[in-house]
Amino acid sequence: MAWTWFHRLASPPHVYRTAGRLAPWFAWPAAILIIAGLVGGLWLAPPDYQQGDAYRIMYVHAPSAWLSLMVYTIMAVAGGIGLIWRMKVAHAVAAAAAPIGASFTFATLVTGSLWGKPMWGTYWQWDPRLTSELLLFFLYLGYMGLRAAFEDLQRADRVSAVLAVVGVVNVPIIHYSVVWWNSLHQGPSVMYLGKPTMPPSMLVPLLIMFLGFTLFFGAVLLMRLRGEVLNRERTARWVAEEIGA
Amino acid sequence: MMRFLDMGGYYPWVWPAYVVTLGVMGLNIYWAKRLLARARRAAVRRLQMQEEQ
Amino acid sequence: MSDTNVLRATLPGVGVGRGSAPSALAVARLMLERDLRLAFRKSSQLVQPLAFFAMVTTLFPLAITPELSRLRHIASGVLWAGALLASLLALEFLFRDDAQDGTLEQYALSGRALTGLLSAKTAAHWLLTGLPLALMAPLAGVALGVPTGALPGILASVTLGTVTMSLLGAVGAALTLGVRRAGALLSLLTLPLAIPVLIFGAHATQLAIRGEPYGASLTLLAALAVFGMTLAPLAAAAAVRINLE
Repeated sequence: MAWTWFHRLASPPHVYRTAGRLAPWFAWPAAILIIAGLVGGLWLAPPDYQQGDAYRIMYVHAPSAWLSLMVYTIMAVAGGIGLIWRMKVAHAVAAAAAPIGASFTFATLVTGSLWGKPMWGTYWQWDPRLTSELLLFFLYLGYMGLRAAFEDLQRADRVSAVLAVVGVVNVPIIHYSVVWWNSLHQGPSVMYLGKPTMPPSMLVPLLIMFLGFTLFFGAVLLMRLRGEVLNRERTARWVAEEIGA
Repeated sequence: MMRFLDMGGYYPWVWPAYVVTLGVMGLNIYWAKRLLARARRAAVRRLQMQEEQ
Repeated sequence: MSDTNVLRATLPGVGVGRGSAPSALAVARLMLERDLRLAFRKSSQLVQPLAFFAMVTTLFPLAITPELSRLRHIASGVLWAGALLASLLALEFLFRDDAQDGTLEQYALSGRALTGLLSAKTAAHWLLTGLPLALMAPLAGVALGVPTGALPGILASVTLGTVTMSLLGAVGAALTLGVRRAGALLSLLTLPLAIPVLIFGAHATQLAIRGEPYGASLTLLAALAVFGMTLAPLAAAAAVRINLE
C-alpha cells in the first residue's frame, strides 16, 4: 500500500523523536528572525508620516493576528484528519496548537487596543478586526473548555475536533457578518496592514516578523506535540525505551 | 538613546505592546517545557507501576 | 434486534402491521410526534424559557428607563439578547433524557441515518422553544415601545433566527452530551457561533422598528437557517456517535 509510509511517518514514536530533533531547527531561526525583526522594526524603520512611531506596534500585532487565524485553521484541519483517518497524532497536533493560538489571540487583542489608544483615543473600539479577533478568542476558549471537560483523552480529542471543524466553517461567516455590521455603523478603521505603498524599510521587518512568528509557532508546537504524544501513548513499549534510557 | 525609548511620545503604548507579545512568547516556551516534563514524569510513574505488578 | 424492531420499541407505531421498514420520512415524523408528546407531559420545561425571556425583557426598563421613546432604541438589542439566552436555556434538555435512558443509543444502533433522527429532534425542539419565543417576541416588543407596524418584522426575524439557534444548539448539546455540568460550557460554545444570527436578526428588527424595508436581512437570516439545516445535523450526529462510544 502506498499509505504505509504515511502511517510510519505518523506513528507516535517516529513523531516523538522527529519532533524533538526538528524543534531546534525551528527555534533558532525563529529567535534570529525575531531579533532581526525587532531591530528592524523598532530601530531601522522610519516613523510613519501619519502615525509617527505608534505604527511600530504593527510589528508584533500583525504577526500575532496572523498566527491566531493560522493556528485555528491548523487545529481544525488536524482535527478533521484525526476524525477521518482516526489518527492519534493529528489529534495531538490539534491539542498542542490550541493554547498557542489562544495566547496569540490574546496578544493580538492587547496590542490592538494599545495601538487603538493613541490612534482612536480609546483602548477599545468595536472595530471589525478587533471584534472578530475577540470572537475568535471565545472560540478558542470554548474549544479548550470542551477539551478540558472530558476525562478520557480520546473522547476529548474527537469531540473537540468536531467543534473545531464546525468553528472553522463558521469563522468566515462570523467575520463577514461583523464586517457588514460595522459598515452599518460607520466605525472608524484606522489600522492598516500591508499598505501597498509601504516603503521596503518598513515592509521588510514586517515580513521578517511574520516568518519569525510562524517558525516560533512551529518550534513551540513541536515541543508541545512531544508531550501530547506521550500522554496519548500510556502503555506502549517505545515509551519505555524512550524514557527509561 | 532617549529619543529611541521615547518612541516619538508613543512610549506608553509601544513598549507595553512589545512586552506583552514577548511575554506571551516566553510563557508559551515555559508552558511547552512544563507540558513535556509533566508528560515524561507521568510516563515514568506509569512504567514503574507496571514493573511493580 | 433488527432495525425495525428497535424503532418499534422506541417509537410506538412504527411499521406495525406492515412487513417492510418504514421510510425515513415516516420515522422522522414519528420522532417529532414522540418528542412533542413527551414535552407536553412536562410542560414546566416549556414555560421556563418563556418566563426567562419575559423576565430579561423586564430587567431593561427597570435598569435603564421606563420611557418608551428611549426603550424603543434599544428594543432590538434587548429582544435578541433575550431570545438567544432563552433558547440557550432550553438546550440542556434537548438530548439529555434520551441519552440517560439509552434511547439515543438505540437510535444510533438502529441502522437509520442518525442525521435524519437528530434533525427531527431539532425540529421538535424548535417547535417547543423557538416558535413560542418567536410568538412572544412581538409582545415583548410592545412592552418596549415598538410601534405595531414593526411586529410582523419582529415575528418573522425571530422565527428565522430561532431556527438557526436550535440547529447550533443541537450541535452544542451533542458535543457536551458527556459533560456533567454543561450549562456554562454550552453557552461558551454556542454563543460565538450565533453572532451572525444576532447581527442580522437585530438589524432586521431595528429596520422594522424604524419602518424601513427589512427584507434583505431576513433573506440573510433565512440563508443562515438553510446553511445550518444542511450542516448542523451532520456535526450533531458525529458528536452524538463519539459521545455514545
